[in-house]
Amino acid sequence: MMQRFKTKSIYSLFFTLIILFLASLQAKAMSKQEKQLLRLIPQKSELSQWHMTYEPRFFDEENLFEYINGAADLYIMYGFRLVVTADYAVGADSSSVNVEIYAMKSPLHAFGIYAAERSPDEAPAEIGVQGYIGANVLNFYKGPYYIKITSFALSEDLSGMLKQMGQYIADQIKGEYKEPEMLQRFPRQDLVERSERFIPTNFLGQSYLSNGYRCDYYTEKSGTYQLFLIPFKKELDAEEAFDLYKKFLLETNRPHRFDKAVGYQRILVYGSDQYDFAFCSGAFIGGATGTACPDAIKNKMQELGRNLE
Amino acid sequence: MEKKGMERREFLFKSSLGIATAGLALPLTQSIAQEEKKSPTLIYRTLGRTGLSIPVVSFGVMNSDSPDLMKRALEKGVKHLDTAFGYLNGNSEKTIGSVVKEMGLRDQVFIASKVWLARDRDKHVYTPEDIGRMPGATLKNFNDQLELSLERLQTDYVDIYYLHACASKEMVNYEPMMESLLQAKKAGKARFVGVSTHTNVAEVIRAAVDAKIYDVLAVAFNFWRNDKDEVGEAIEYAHSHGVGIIAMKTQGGRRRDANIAVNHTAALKWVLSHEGVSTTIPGMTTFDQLDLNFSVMANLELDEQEKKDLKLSALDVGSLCRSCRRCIPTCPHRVEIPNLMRAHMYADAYGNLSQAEWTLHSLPEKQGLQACRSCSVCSATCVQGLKIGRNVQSLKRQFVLLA
Repeated sequence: MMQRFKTKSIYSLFFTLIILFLASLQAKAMSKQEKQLLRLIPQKSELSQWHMTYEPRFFDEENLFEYINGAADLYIMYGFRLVVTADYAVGADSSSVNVEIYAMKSPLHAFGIYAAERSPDEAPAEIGVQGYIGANVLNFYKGPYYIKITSFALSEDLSGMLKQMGQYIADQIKGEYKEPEMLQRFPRQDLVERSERFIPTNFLGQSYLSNGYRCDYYTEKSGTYQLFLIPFKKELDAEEAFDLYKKFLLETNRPHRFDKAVGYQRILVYGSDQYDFAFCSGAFIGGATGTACPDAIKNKMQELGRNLE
Repeated sequence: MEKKGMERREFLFKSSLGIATAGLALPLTQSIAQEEKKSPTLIYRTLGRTGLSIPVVSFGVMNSDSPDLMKRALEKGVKHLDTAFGYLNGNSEKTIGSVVKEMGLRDQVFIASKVWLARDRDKHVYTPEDIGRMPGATLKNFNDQLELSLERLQTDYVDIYYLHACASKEMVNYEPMMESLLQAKKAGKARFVGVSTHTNVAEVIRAAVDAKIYDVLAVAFNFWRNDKDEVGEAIEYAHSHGVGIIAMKTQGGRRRDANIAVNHTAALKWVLSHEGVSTTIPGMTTFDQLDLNFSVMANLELDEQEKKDLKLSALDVGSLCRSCRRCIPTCPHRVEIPNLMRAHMYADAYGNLSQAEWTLHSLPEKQGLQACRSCSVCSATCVQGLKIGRNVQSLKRQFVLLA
């Protein structure tokens, strides 16, 4: 009896030590990620005219809500990992500037959240892979990071100062990064600049569609409509998802045309005021939504399809 | 249409887009139309003294910038769209603006937005100075945000304008913000004004009612909140004073522990079982969620299975500390309260006393249960309403030697 008790105690101790060891590894991993983020922002005198006024703070998935309130849900949906935020004073009038660097799951997810918050109306800024500058903000992404630099004092040289900080951070992020490759497959003509999106979940409002790409197009004749593309790992996965999407389209739209052949399917439907078009080709689902004029998408569909070859 | 043997390119790009030749009235395939999904009859409630009559399910447009989803929601009968200045960096407001304008529904849809200005996050008070990327809580910044929201929404007015995420009675009663809201109302830019709250919800509701200027409150309310009874009573207090209540986070949002299964329609019905709740604004990003949420209007009564599901989920989550650590500053000894709560959960919920004891032993003496010796009454508070004092007493009783 005593022997059994001792054996049990040894096992318990051993188990506890393993848990503590794993917990310490986890703690180290987190601090490593924090250190990585810290290295991206100026700490002391790396940038003339800038000095830190509020020490860096970190928020992870558990407490992001405390920092950005309801927007946290969206960031988490886009693969949020960790954010560092710090305040600086800059320039002769010591304008206050806030810097945030969001570490995301991957460069694609960083693009996704950047694009979700981007506005086509803002002026592009050549910092990082892509960025834009507004009256008091500079936002860009590079690698797995989404960077937001915000000021509330509108000094004359604010734009230059925001760019200076942005460039410093972009330079600290090592490696060559480009826009997501899949976006190259979208036709360029009539594309609304800076409307490209990557949406990791619930694409087109469908829980079974993930990791989709979408771009806006505009012509006077057709107004604004969207083309979309969803890559799948296997053709069978694409076909299954297409069946569900087709069912969804037919639930509330009038079928206008449906064709099927080996490996290819397409459907055109008409709702209350717009056409929706979708095709399944190999391991891709693509299509157009929101167009009042199916003529307008004819060439676009041809080009999109050619680009999948 | 037989296409076997045809080349992919030929299929997709030669024949396919004979779309242009197809007439609307002449579907080329056999009809595969299905009967349109029928929506249940809508159930309306009146939003307090605003007099607005709204279906009990509305749309929290927090994370959805899908125009198609929003259109479908409006077609199904949604009358109230809730957004905020900061959602999707303004893209949420822009999408609402363009969809509502395109559908010509501005006079039939009630739009709510929220102003987000600087606050001290620890003390829960507004500050006139900028903090980080939050502009100071001043009349000018208030008006700047309101104007930009109206521009994005392509409208001259919002139906409800909230102070976003008030967490204390001090924030509710902050005069510069109250004055700003009243001016916006007087100028016709906000028909009604209110506050939204996720933290210290019961306190904020009562303070807002007593402040007398607020018409509507958007409050986080769901069946597994530890403070649900207090919040429920506060909601009734608001209801009895004619202040409209809109419930949010009804199904818990992302903060809910992911491993706890929730019957979503049951959760929504539970919230709506409170008469004081006029409508709910579940965040929706899929058409399925929209249909599911609308389905509760077929019958608002919780059936036996739904009651059972809620009870199980509540048992799972009821005694959980979220480890936000915001209780620690409220304790004079800075005790490691989240770990004490964890020990309490092991002991009470799981009956695992050895795990509880091990957890207590692992804490530094000055921050463990020993530090609670000197306090006969616990002054620590939990923003989620967890009964810290009661749980500490329970630990003291069970682990006398440690305490």
